[in-house]
Amino acid sequence: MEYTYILAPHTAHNYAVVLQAVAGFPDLISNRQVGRATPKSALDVLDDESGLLVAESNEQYIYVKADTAELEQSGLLAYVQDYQLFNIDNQPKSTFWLNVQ
Amino acid sequence: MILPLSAIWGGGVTDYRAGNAQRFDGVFDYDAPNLPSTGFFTAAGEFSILLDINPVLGATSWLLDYGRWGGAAVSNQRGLSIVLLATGEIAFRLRDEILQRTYFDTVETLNTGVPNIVIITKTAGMAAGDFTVYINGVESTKTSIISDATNDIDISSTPNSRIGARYNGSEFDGKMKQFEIIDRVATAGEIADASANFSFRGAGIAHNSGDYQLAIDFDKVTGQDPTTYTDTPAYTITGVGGTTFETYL
Repeated sequence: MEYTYILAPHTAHNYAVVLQAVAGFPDLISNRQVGRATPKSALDVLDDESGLLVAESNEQYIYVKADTAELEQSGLLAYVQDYQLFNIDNQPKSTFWLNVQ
Repeated sequence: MILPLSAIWGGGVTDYRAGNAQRFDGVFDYDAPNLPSTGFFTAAGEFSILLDINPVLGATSWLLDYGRWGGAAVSNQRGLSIVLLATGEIAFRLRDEILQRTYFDTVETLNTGVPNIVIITKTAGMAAGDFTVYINGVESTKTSIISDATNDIDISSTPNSRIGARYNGSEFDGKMKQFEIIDRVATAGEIADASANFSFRGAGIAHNSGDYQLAIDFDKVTGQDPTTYTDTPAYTITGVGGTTFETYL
């Protein structure tokens, strides 16, 4: 199994099409594999172990870990707007807080 | 010419780095073992923990959260955490059942993108001086020390244990090949042998020795869950976030 990571603006449209794809393809995204992401900033408030407490940026993104084969079958990417794709080795960790709690 | 490890060690030595390791993606992945809430880390007890990991440094991540570590309120912290700091130091965090703390960081660092052996030993007691950290076979100096803890660890009020993340994030990015805990302080010779051979088994401590508290088999294929080894205490380990396994070397 191979995974594709999708970063897309957290808009009503993108949220809706991801929900629709998940409903139609139950194996597309396993438990806990959809998260919020937000850009990193030097003004972010961090805890003692450098974890994010409060993000300075108001920009919100959706970050999704999808089964690559299921992703192709679902056709989801035809409907997600302004997405970027990543793999396990090149995720945008230096510029985004990924899977923000 | 580069000789295979079997040629260097002779045919009788097993390469404990052979086969697959779990590849944590640093975002969604962690393992949830059903470790007991009490009696696992006691003040009177001893232990030695061995980790063989190939980390991608750059962000603070949790190698073990036994308890429930974090949140803005310090009073929410419980249990024992082994943290890998962004620049490669090991941060050890412990809060006993009455919330007394033992904290320290190592001065020495792990290397990014290559396998590293971390061994943490504990004698009877809960003070910082009762713990020793070895990174790739070398004893590390402790810094930023807090040393108040005296009691057992009880996480029954916050039952939550994770390997490769803390309860609310800080996921590990990299590969994990060994996670072993024995219920005594490894000798200097065993620490040297385990560091050189990448497992307590490489120091002659067999799985059926009765010494193991935990020994996890990460030589799996993608989609499977890790398991505990035969002849070691059996726990269920659930890989959360879609497990991925790759060759370790």
